[in-house]
Amino acid sequence: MASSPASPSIPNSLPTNSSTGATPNVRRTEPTTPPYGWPTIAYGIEYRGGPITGDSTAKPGTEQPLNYWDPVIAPGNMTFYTSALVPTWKMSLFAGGLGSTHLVRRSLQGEKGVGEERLLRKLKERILDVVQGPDGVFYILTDNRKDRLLKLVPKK
Amino acid sequence: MTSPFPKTALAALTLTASLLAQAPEQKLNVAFEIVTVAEGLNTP
Repeated sequence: MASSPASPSIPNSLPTNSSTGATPNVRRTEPTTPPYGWPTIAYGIEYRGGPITGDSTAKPGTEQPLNYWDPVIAPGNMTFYTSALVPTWKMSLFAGGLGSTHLVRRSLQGEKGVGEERLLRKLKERILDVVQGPDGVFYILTDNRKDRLLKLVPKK
Repeated sequence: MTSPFPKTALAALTLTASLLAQAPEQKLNVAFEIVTVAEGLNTP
């Protein structure tokens, strides 16, 4: 089973992805959009295991998620990378994994996830929060016995 | 699983969701240094 992630903060202006030529088109929730169905339907699992909704992941009148993770990563938060500091990351969707203890980078083409990379695996720390700073680097808040604030500085 | 609507409709919805939701591994291998800014923050 997988978890339906929280809605990311979508930049107002989405620059063209230089590597694919495609502009990500993650849809905003409009008043006419069907509800996502929580908690009637979900892809998530309970802390103790087992589906949250009795294994019901679809129902007429509800919207399916554009992206979810199977197996579940227990996402903390997520954000788009918009800086030119790391061009190959630009407009990828990054999500911190609490349960999975890594940072996920998902490439989008339109609304579809077309590739995924899992980062910071060796840390084995729960990724509580990930934000992009004004300097274009990621700041990561971890949730374990050290409770660290980290920043990811690209090597030149 | 109990569902109030036909299995074919459920299968179509599930297939659509799977196509959109799954993404193959795609490593960019961007090299970066992990710098500790602070620790012992007692995050909730």
